[in-house]
Formats: sequence, C-alpha cells, structure tokens
Amino acid sequence: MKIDISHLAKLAKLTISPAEEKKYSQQLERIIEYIDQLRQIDTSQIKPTLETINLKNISFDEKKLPKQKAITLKNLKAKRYFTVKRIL
Amino acid sequence: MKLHQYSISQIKSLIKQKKVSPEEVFSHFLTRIKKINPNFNIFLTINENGKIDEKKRDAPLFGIPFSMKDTYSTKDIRTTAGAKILENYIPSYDATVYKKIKNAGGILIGKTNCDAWGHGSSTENSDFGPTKNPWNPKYVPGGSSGGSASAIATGLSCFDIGEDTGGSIRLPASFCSVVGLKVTYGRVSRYGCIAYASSLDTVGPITKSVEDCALVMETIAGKDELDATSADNKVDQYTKHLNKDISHLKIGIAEEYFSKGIDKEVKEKIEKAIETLKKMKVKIMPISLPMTKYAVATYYLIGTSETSSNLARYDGIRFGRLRKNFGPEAKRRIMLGTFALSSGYYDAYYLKATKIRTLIKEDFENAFKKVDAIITPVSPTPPFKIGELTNDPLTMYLSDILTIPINIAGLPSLAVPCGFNKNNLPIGMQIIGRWFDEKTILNIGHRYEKEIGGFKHENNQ
Repeated sequence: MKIDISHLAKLAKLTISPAEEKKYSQQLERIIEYIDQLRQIDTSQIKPTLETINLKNISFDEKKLPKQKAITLKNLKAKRYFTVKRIL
Repeated sequence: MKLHQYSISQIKSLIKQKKVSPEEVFSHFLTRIKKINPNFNIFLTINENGKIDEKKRDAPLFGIPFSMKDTYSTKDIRTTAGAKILENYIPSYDATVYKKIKNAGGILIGKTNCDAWGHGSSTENSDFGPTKNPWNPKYVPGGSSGGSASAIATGLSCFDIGEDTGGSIRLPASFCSVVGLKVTYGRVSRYGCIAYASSLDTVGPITKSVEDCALVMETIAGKDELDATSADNKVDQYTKHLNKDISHLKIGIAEEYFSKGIDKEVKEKIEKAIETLKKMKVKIMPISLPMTKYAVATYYLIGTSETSSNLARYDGIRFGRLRKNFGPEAKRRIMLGTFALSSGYYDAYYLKATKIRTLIKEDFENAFKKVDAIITPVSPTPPFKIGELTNDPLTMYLSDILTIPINIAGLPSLAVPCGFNKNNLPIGMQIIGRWFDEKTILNIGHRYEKEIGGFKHENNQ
C-alpha cells in the first residue's frame, strides 16, 4: 500500500523534507504491511473496546490556571495575548 | 553506611531510631548521583534542593529520596518527557502521583531519562541521548523508562515512578534486573502524566524489591477526582499480603509466549523460575492465548492513533518549541496514527484494532477462569546493544511483543528478575494478574524473591 507522507504531514502539522519523505514512506509501508495481518480475523460481529475497566460517564469541576501564570510559560512581548502564525 | 543497599523499610527504621537523618540520606544519594550519573546518562534534571518536610515525620515514605520518569509534571521543576520540544518547560502544577508521594514524606531527587514521549523500547529515542545499561554500558537499559530502571539498578534513588503503555516499565526493569509493576489501568491516577496513549498508559513503581514496590503502591494507588479514568476500586494493603501462602494458587503458562522466536537462555531462566514455584507447591497449568500474535499490530494502531491526538497540543504557541522539533520516532508514530484515523482508513485500521482489542481481552478473561496468574518472559531476547535495532523500526516494535497484550487488556503485571545470560545480562519474567488483583502478583513475586535469596544488585556497590 502506498502511503502519502506529504498528506499525513499536512494533516498532522509536521515538517517533513522531501528527502525524509522517501524514508518515512518506506518505513510506514513496511509497518502497515505487518499490521494488515489483522484482516485475517473476522470482526464483523465484534463490538469495539475503547477502555478496559467498565468506566461510565464521569464529570468534575475544572480549576482554572491564573492568566499571569499561563502567560509566563512563553516569552510574550505584549503580555496580554498569544500570537500565532497567519492563518488566512 | 551503604544506604542505597537498604530497603525503604530499613531506611525508615534508621531515620526513626535517629541513627541517620533525612538530610544525610538525601546527601548520600545525591553524592552517588554526581559520581555515577555521568557514566550512564540516567538523570535529566537533578533536584539538589530537595526539602525535608518535618510535618511528615510519621508519614509512610518520610525521608525517602525518589526519582520520577521525566513524563510527570513537577511544579517549578523542569519536565521534558525526554523531548526537545519541552526542553525548557517548567510545569505550573504537580502530577497527582508526585503530590501523593510528597504528602507521604518522599523527597524528589531528580527526573530520569526516557524515550521522548514514551515512544520506544530502549531509551535510544530520548532527545537527550540514550541511557546506558548499568550491567554493560554498550547495551540498552530497555525503554521507555530506561533512566528509571537504571537509577534503581545503580542505587541512585530508593524508588522511581515509571510509566508503562506497551511494556515501558517491565522491559527496562527486566533489562536492568530490578522490579517493575505495570498496574491495572486506572489503578493509579494519570493526572499530570504527559500522555502517550490515553487508554493504555499506566503509572507504576520501579524498585529493588517486591516489598518496596508494595509499599510505594499503598501510597500512590487510588481514585483521583482529577483523572476521569481512575478507578474507585478499593486499594488493598499490599504489604500485608506479601507473605501469604501461595500453594493454593494456579499459574498458567501460555504456549504462545514460549514459541520459537524466544531466546534459548531466556526460556531456560523462566523455566527455572517456574520450577522454583512448583517446589513451593503452586499448581502450573497450560493455557492458550491465541490472539497474542495480533497484539503488536493492534497496539501500533490504537497507541499511535491516541498519541497523534495527544501530541496535537504541542503547537508551540502557549509553551514549548515548535512541532518541527519532533524527533523521527515521534513523527513516525504521529503519522501512523493520523493514517489510521484518516478518512477512508478509519474503519479498516483504527476501528478494526478496537475490535481485535475486544478479542485479546476475552482471551485473558477466559484464561483467568482457570488460573490466578500467568507467567511469561518479559522480553523475547536479553538486552541488545545500543544501535543494534535502530535501523528498523518494526524490529524494535517487536521487542514489546510479550508485554503489549497486557496493556491492551488493561491487566496488572509484575516484572521480576529471574537470572542472567552467559554474558551477564539480566533476564526477567512477568507475573500477570486479574484486573485489580495486584495483591496476588505482588504476593507471588515476593515469595519467589525470598525463595531464591533475593535479587542480585551488584551494580549497587
């Protein structure tokens, strides 16, 4: 199976150089080939397992981090907002 | 006094009798770290100013220096997860497990090296260089908690808190000849643990002896409001069960774990350990776990999918470096997970894996109708050389073939040393128990340890 590394890199916001693309492509194809043995098992009547200890719906009150503390983790000039790369 | 050769109980006793002060204990280990750590690259951060809290004098771990895999948030103390992205990250809160140990009087002495993000079986994927196996520095200490196991093997702290998602406590414990416990999923809070795979990650102790492990477990196990996946099952008094009689227990041996891919010397040592248990009147029974061979494939779909999601938070906006600083293994796993979850592939890969997971769990449910514990090797091979498996990711992934199924099912498993190969490299076995039955596997492990006269700690000199 052919793996489109540049597509996956775009989805996952990763930087992969054209030189690296070939190497990752080969590695991932080999791994997927190994994983494909799972097709041998008929799971049409099997339910998925998402967790193993029979958890039920759980909720709690979230505590907030003070703004001052949140800002000091990154060296910000304005100290009032976070800046990000241009989207549009 | 060679304090690093003493058990936690013995050190506590010495402190209580005023034969040694907590400051002297801490200083003893700190001196050892400064001398020995540079040879093995075990610690990423050393906490020289560990404070003794006098108010905790009667607490269960008072005066005991401990270390933690660098995947646990420790407020105001750098936490990297072994990754360049977090090289300068200083957490603003404590992981629950860290808080609990501090409340019990433990003193953090440092953060130990690991494969970045927990991605690895050898600690070679650490962005800060590999840790070297204390038994032979040309060899890997196992991973991803390689620093943790090495710290205990060289007597640099009394206990370490590692993390096990696919074998990351058990494999390094086995490769370094120390004890490591992978707990039942949800037994110990994951709050403040830098997440790898949320349905597989577990928090557990790495120690010199099973008794030390049981002691630490009494402090760290239990429900946590801050971890929605933590279990409210009652926490047993693990130390009280250690010496119970094991002769009524049935132990299963699964043929799938002793197939032709297993190294001859590994097989021999496990069989010798089983003979020892037979002499203790334990009943050994054959069982079958037919889905074993599909576990690695299942794990590299579920684990990578979950990690691709968990690592999405490292956007370099609010903290940490930019995503281009991810190492090759992190990139590989993120891409694999992205692939498995992507449109057109989700059903055939991620969803399929969750269904195989059901079947793997059922294998164990059926086995535990007949037996109380299952014994297998931890690794198909003894420790391998640094650089030996780094060219082929898939071969490296297969190092975890015997540990992974246990994480998929969410079961507890205790790794204990059971010998050395002819090159003096450690071999370990795992004792797998029923969900939330850590007390039985600790009991078996402790009785085995006593029967063989204790585990070898030559590097503890």
